[in-house]
Amino acid sequence: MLIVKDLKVEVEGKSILKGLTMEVGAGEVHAIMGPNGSGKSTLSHVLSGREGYEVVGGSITLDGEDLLALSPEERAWKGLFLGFQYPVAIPGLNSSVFMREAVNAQRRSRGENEYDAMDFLAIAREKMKLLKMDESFMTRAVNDGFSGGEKKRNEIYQMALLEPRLAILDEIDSGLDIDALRVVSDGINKLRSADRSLIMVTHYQRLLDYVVPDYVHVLSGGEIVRSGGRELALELESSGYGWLEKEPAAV
Amino acid sequence: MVATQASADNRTAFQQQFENRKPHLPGDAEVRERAMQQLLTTGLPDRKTERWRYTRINSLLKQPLEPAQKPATTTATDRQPLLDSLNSGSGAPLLVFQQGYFCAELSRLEGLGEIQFKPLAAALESGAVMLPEAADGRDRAFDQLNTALVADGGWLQLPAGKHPLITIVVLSGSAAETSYWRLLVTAASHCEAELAIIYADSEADQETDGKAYQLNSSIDLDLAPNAQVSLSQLQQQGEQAFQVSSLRANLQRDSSFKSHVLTLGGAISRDDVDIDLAEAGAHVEFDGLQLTNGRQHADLHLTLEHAAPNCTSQVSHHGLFGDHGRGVFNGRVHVHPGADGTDSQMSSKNLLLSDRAEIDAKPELEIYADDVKCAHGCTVGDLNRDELFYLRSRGLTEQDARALLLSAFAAASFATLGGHWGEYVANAVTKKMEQLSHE
Repeated sequence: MLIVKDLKVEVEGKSILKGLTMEVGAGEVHAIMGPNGSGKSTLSHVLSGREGYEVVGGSITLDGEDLLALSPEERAWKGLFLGFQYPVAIPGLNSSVFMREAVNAQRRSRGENEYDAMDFLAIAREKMKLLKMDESFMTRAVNDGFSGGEKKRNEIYQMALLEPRLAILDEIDSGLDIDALRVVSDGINKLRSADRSLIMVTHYQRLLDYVVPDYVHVLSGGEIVRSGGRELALELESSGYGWLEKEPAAV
Repeated sequence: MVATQASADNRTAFQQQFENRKPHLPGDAEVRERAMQQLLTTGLPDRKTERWRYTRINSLLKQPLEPAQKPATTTATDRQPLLDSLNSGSGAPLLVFQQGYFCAELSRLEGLGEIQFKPLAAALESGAVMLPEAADGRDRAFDQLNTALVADGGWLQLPAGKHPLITIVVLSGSAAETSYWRLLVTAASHCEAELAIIYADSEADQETDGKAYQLNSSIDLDLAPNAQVSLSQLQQQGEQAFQVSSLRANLQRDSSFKSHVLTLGGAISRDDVDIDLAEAGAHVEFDGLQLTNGRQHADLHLTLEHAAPNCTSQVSHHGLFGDHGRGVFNGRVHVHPGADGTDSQMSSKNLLLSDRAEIDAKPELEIYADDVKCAHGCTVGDLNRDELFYLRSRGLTEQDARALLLSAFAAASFATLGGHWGEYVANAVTKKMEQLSHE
């Protein structure tokens, strides 16, 4: 489904990703772990089309289509979703208005009928239940005055509404206490399905106790230095990232 | 010296207007005489008047327009749809003024309940109230003119208790003349009241009409201890209009004043807002919004006098300027000696949608007390890239994302206005935003 080949990315002339290769199949859950500065967030941003990143080599394809040629909204229309590490607060923009616009933009792109306010409300209510969100949320401005946990829950709620085929969750666990982590993880698990792939970018293995991945990759110095199954994450938990500096890079 | 010569001529013209009008003006003549004398002594603002530096009005004052006369009794106006849309069967009170004069036929006083209302002319005649003294100085010339020349307006006394929303519609511009309008409000202790004021062209078809008229409006508000008053003003004048407005509020102990100045219309508009936090524990929330396009010019000068301890104020200004649109924001916070415990926050956020648009934003802090928290910030620029990306990553096109963010930017300044009035404001802003983003 998603194929990243020898991806090389620079930011302001500085090389961040130095030949990253990975493949994500339909319905698979991949975890990308690594220390700070390893290029985890850069990968999320490049996948979603954020500006400020220069791809100097390699390719990214989604179902054979060149992802890098598409604008962020076109990627969203293809079913890509990014859960932000730092969701942006937008005072004055009503959460429901925003999400209805977003859902309808995607439906338009697929030639489907748009939802009216009533249709949307019914669907939104159902998804909010999934995330155990209070209904007052619908009348609030996007992420405005939200706690860290509320913001992350909101990201998963948006994912539930947009029903992506490939979701990249960038440090969805950061800044969450254990209760919030549980709610967010439950939400993610409910959204797992055979035709929805997930890439979870995280610093800590804690999240992976709740959302169990099929594959774990360790990113270091802009490359994937190790790949394995769930047990790799556990190994990292006991040994930390220190070993990365000692061991020669091996894929 | 040419400028001085011109303003001296203006003064004579205004003096002549005053002499003609004086025999018919209600109430105490002396306060009016004094105001006229102030004007004759100091003159009108010119290029050298600091508080009018960015707003040039010389050409407007070259030949002063005649003051509007009381219109014939009327039960019909082509702004009836506007009045209906405000009332929509709510039964809430509606006060309508034409060319500055109270129009009983178009108003609805039934819903006022315990609120006392009198047309200003009647209130002045009865001696129940007097016009306040006009402020000194060349930069206050329009205040002096209002005091000297105003013939009517409203007088409201708000007793203790919670009151329904009072909607006030000030229509002017049936001819190329200047309307003078004055509102005097006293809010009693423990009163909870909300006033909504719309300034509009008395002709519905303002786009083709394009009459160059003027409105000089002035509001004085006294808040007794623990009074809570919200006053929002929406300016939707015709595109050739010049509106100059002043709002003075005096806040006593633990009173709370929420105020909105939302400027959408007119060719040139100027608002002077002076809020005096005179006693301890007073609280102010002020939101200003300026949306200009074409060659519109909007100027907001706000002064907060933090004269007593433990008062709080939050000022938020939003400006959105398209085409050749201009904005001026001057926000001054003056913390007096002894006003310890002052907590004052001011922000001015501005978006320029064209290379030719301009904003002159200037927050000013003057602090003479020690134990204070004062913060101010000012931004000018384009939409935030992170916000744009956030919306696009959810599938909105760049164009749709921009439109949504611009609306959100404007909406942040009236988010606290609820109910029917909030909807009316939102619709007015949406319409204006469409003009702005289509240029």
